[in-house]
Amino acid sequence: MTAEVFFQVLGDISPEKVSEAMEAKPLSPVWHRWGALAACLALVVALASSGIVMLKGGISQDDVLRPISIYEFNGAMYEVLDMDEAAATLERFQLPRRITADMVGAPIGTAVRDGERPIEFYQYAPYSSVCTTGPLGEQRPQQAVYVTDADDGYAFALFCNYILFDSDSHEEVDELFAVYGIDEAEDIASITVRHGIALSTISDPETIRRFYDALCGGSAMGNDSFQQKIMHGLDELGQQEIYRELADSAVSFSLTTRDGLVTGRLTWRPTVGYIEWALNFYQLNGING
Amino acid sequence: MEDSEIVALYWARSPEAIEVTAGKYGGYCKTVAQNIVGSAEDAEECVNDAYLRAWNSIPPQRPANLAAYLGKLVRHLSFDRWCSSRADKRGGGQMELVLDELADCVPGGGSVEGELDRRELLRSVEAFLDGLSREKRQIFLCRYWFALPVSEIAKRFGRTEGSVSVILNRTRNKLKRYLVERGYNL
Repeated sequence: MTAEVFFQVLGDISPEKVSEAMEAKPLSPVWHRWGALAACLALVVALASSGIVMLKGGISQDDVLRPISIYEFNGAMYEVLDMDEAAATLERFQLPRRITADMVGAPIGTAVRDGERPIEFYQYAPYSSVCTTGPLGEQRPQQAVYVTDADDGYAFALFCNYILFDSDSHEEVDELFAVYGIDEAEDIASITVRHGIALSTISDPETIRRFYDALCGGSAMGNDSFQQKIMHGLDELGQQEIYRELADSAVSFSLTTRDGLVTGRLTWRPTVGYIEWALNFYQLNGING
Repeated sequence: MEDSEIVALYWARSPEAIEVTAGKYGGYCKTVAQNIVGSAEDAEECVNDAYLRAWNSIPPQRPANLAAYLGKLVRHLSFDRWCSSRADKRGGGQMELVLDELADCVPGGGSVEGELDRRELLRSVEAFLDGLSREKRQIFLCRYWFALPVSEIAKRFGRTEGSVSVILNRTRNKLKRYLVERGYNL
């Protein structure tokens, strides 16, 4: 069958679907700007909603990863955790404190680090079926969580970032989503917003979809371009002011997928309309700052 | 005038039927045609042919959805026109791009050339489209039924062109997987 015949077959689909497609009228720019903005405001508003949970001694914004080492694997950087010291990190990423043999999947390659012996990376068996679909229709397994054979037993290796060519390189957000097995908005189960030690969870599919669409539809840039964009034309005082604003207004959050994977930290910077994720900066679609 | 009244004019064999049709749906038909054939002149002819085809087919047809019925006629005629003009190295519009994209999910072999097989394929495609979200279904059909340019679809849905391309690409991949799972040889 040729594409021409397929096009003709498509021509016979039900009139209801044709009418439905005809209903898609051009949107006004104003509607779209507010639509995207509303999705992001939902993240902030959630902080003040009844869903806020105060945690004592749990995950906090100060809970940075405490890596024993960083390895390069498959064009990306991975932190190999010290399993004895990583309780908070493991909790945050919803991973078990101990890796048993049945959790170790197939070997997938060797990771390297300067001055260290290479170590073997294995699939993490509970996530072995988590995939996204690549541009050619190929299945791409998740790349967020691997297992290594460290000297004192198995340890988790967590994705940090792709290796960037220079300080102005960036990755498209699709690539970051693919790391966690996210193909589309429906693959995201919830957004966990962090503010100090407060957490709130957004699981409304419509809000998640609008957030996802705004992020996917936005433009991406590397660190240098981002700095240039927000600092352009400002004197030193102005730069200090914008840095302070960025810090004060920042809202951190992470995404949890339907498969249970948790992303690294994303930071929403409402004063300039950007989301920062793994040293990449994404201007949300329809928001110009 | 309501569609049912326009259809009634066709059944009454009133020439006013075409005049009213052109008034109500002329712009829409021309847009459908022009997206496919590329040239305004060819599009105009396709639309006029579609009016004639409607005149000759109603009755016995009594379309419940006149816009979709006309759209289908225009699409069919325009595509035939485009195929002829492509042979003459004329044309333009979106069709080359649309067909290149659709080639990703076209069942291979000669197994679906027969009418029964085509109906079976159509049922599968309908079921696939039913499983999409409303917006993705609209975007897919704007591109592959109406042959709208990606830029125009982006404008309609308040998205960037990149975002629309990603959705189309993923939907094609999903359709391909869906058809493979149902035994179509891709």
